[in-house]
Amino acid sequence: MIEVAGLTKRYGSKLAVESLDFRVPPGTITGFLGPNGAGKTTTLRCLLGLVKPTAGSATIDGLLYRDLGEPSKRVGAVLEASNVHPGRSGRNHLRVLAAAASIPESRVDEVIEIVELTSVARRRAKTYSLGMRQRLGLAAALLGDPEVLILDEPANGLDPQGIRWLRGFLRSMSAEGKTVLVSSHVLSEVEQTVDEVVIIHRGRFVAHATTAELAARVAGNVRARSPEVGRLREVLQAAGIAVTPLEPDGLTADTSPERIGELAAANGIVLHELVAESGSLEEAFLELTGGETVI
Amino acid sequence: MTALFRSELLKLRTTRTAVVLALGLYLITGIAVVAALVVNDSLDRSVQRDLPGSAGFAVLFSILFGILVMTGEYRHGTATPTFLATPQRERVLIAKALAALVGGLTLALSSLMLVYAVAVPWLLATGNSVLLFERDALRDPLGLVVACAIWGALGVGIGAVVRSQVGAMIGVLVWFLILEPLVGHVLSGVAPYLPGAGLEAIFSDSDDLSAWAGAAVSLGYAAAFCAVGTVLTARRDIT
Repeated sequence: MIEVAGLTKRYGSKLAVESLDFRVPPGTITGFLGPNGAGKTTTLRCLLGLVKPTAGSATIDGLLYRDLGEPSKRVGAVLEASNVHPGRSGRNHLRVLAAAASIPESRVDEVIEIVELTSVARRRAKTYSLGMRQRLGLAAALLGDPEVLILDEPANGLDPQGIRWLRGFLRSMSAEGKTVLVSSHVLSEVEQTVDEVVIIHRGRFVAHATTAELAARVAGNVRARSPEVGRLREVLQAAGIAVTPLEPDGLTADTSPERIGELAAANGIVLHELVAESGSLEEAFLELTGGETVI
Repeated sequence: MTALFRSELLKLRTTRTAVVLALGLYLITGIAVVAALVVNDSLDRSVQRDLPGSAGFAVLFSILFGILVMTGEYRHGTATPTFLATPQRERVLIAKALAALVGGLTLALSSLMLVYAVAVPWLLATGNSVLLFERDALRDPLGLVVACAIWGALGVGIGAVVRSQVGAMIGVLVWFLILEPLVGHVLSGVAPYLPGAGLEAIFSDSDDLSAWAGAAVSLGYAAAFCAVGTVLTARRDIT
């Protein structure tokens, strides 16, 4: 269980995170979303004991990161893909971390295989693409075979194949019953893999919901087209339904497609199109964060 | 602690930094010892006693080495994975100070070996007797080994306080070339206890300090910088 309670972090005069509260239940994949600068990285760094909160706490299984005992064996984290010495090979980077955490060297080659870096593992890290570095970071996080994974923008800089690979990776982690908290400023990167989302904006909590609940929030309007659009509008308005005209021969109405169909049939109005505009997660996300996301 | 120390040694063995630094030192040392052998007409006892001084740059390289060991973590962002693996940051600092101490020791011993490897055959070939291993000729080499070990750890302490690689290196050079002579001039009472003076005393009992006291002064600075660096490192945010 990851628990963030009343977390506040102030850098000088700037409040990066303000009284943030949320929990990530065990065994779920939770997307941690917000536009760039929303405070996601600061929150995750507080959780990992790298940044000291100004107030409040961020704990894992009720403990601060530094009190976890053997943290690498309980929590794996990927923060920035560039956190590797350019002159050291990926494999040696992992050997160094394994040595510090008393993890046997045989595990190094195992995690290299899991993230599919075997062919380049002995090359110096400066020759790696951003995608390879992201995978190297994931390999480091997996060294201790932890139950909890915390990933900060793991899809950043990945090409479409890389993102697809990441999705598969997250699904396999989920299948193993791991708890994953994965941040992103682009909902579409994670929406197919996460069970729940926590959304923050300008350092404050905005929403915590399952993806289904989030989509329901923006249940959309119904769009209709008709050669007799004027009459259709009158009929709908007479039934107390809010209507917005759509040029040249359409309208959107705040109701269900069934209701429009029934009213049209009862009044003998021909319909050319009747579409329920389902709310997408992306719309909900944009609405909740004031449209300041970068797609 | 053993695991952390091993991890630090592995870091040193898996980049070229340490090798490049050592090769630079050997180049300077080699030139210095050959020059000393060529320039002096008679290679008598006093000349031979000063020959190990050819490896004297090892002290500067040791402090640079210590600085690199610490500041490299910030420069390359590896501080994040390092402190994730070991959130007890003070333990990381201790392991690094020990690794730099061993590094300084290694730089001193290896450059001294280079001096002997050049000087002994040279002396034999030129028909001189080898007086390099007489008791009073071993004093300076011993001092060099001690000084390099301490100054390696001092470099880690300075690096932990300053964090910027370039800043720490320039700071050290500015201190020894400009600030220490100035401070020593203005406050003559503390002059013998300044870092550079303490270092010199290790090799030539100054009027104020014996060699042991000189080593103690160096050790004091190393301990002080490491202590302050540890406190700062534990408090700071790693971003």
